[in-house]
Amino acid sequence: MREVAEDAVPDLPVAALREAGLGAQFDALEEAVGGHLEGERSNVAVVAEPFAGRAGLLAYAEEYLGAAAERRSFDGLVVDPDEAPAPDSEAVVVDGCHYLYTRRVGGFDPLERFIDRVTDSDAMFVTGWNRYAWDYLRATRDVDAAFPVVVRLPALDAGGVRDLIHATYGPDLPAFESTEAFGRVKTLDFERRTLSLTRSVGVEVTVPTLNLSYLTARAEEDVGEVEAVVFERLTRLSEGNPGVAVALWERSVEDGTITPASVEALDRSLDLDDDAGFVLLLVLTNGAVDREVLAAALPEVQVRRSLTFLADRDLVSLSDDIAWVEPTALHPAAEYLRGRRLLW
Amino acid sequence: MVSAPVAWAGARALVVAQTGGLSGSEVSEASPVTLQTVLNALAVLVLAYVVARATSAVLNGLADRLTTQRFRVTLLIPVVKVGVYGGAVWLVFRGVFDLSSAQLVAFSGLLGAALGLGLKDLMADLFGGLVLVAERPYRIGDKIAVGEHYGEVTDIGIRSTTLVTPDDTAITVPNYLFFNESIANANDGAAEMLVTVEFYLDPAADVRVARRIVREAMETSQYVYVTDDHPVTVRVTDDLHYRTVTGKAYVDDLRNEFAFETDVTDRALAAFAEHDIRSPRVTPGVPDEAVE
Repeated sequence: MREVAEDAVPDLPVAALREAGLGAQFDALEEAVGGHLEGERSNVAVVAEPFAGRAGLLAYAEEYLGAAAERRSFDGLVVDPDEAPAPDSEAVVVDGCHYLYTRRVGGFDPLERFIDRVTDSDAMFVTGWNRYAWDYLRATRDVDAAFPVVVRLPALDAGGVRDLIHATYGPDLPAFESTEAFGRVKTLDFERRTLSLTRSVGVEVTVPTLNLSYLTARAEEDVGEVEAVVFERLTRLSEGNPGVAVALWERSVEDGTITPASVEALDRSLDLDDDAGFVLLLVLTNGAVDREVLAAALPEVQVRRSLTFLADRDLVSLSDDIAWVEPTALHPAAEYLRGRRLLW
Repeated sequence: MVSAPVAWAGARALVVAQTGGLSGSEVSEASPVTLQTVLNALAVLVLAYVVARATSAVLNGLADRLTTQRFRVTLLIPVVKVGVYGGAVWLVFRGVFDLSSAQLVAFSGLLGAALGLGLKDLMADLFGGLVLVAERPYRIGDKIAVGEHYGEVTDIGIRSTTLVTPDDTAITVPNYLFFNESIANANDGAAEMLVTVEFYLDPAADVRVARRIVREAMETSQYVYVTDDHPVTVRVTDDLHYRTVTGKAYVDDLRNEFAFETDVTDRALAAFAEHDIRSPRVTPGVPDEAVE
């Protein structure tokens, strides 16, 4: 199931993530392994947004630990507590730990069983968590008490996004072109946004945003070129998320060229009822969910209807009963849910 | 009650008498009250009313769009109203009587004394409104209990406060009541609010399981808000014929208070049934034979 969601974004190579400025996170992993070998309790929680490179970091951990490590992954909601892995090796790399709970009475049993095994075992656990699920579990279940080392993947800056794209796609990048058809490139960027007049009526307006790097530049040669403007825009719209930046990049390239105007975000004003908002939250915090499993686990919520509603608005994608949040809809959805206090 | 024309005539006479001792440069002659000045005064008051209502509507609309951040906007509404109406009253008196500042102050004091004899309750309401704006024991959007009334504050006026109860009834509470009554504010300008849900159990029920169920029902609700400062707590108390399990948690938005309570109750009771946790079966004071 997780493969379906991750197909939405190409695999991010470890080298590309290091080039993008995430070297400190890899070093923290190595340091934790060193601590474990010296007898310290160094269980690791790798916490990141969807598409932010968590899989790459865990793959590196498995490689770094070598033959001492076994790999386990959860690809969907776990309802049987016995599915929690009992370690046979000195180290265990586990991804998808956010699938170990369901938001229902009795839904924490698999997670509790897993945490018990982590704390009772002498093995080192390197675990991967969806950041939104981690924040919820930390507040309700104190899950961070079992993991003394927490490695969070930070947002990339424009330079990091540029390095990531260069490292991912190599030297054959598309041509960067400016365009006058949609506003000037240098001083101002123009974005089209939908302004809601009422709940159902909106009007498209053009909103200018300043290109600060151009305004503060002193010499002609300091002025941001089109390439810098593209990466700046990519960074802003992806909020520094590597996978979202790559997804936006791939969507923006047309006929071997890319322009600032072609780098667009999801522009949609969200107004969801309680069930739709909750279902969107569950998809966001799990990464990908099976519609039927979720509907069975939460009979009091209109899961099927809500997922169809969300899919019609391009907030989630549905394929063979699996629902996941589109990379380009990740941050608009998170922002909306944060405003509704569904994300804390 | 003092009639308005009598009060005005008396006030004007007092002002003229008081200012009789002042030099001509210090006193401006009062303009005659013509139909034009009265119409001007009415126009100012009507315009002030329209401006206050329009501003309130705009701010309320903006607040609703901000959802959980709406309290930052709603606290401006009574301040704007006081400013608009205060400015309008100032303009009316300046326009009708054309008084200097000193005369206006003197007139205001005399007018207040004259009106206070007959309209002291109204004056108490007006002063109460000013105190509410200054002290802010509650804001628009807060859920408060005052006297026997409980509801969300939807408007703070110069004279009264409007609450909307859970039954969607709008109650107008005179502002002077707030000098005499205690006010319980459930959220104090925050979007989140503590909600308490109680369950009564048969003494033979497994209390540990019940506590876990109530806690998880609260933690997994779509309406819950949990942080280090807003934890979920569950308490058990023992009574003669039953045990009480009390769950306390914060709801993400006070408007979801009852939806949260219903959601938690519904799912907890379903889980109780699955785990054979029963409600108390004995009615106090009724013999077992009568119940059976």
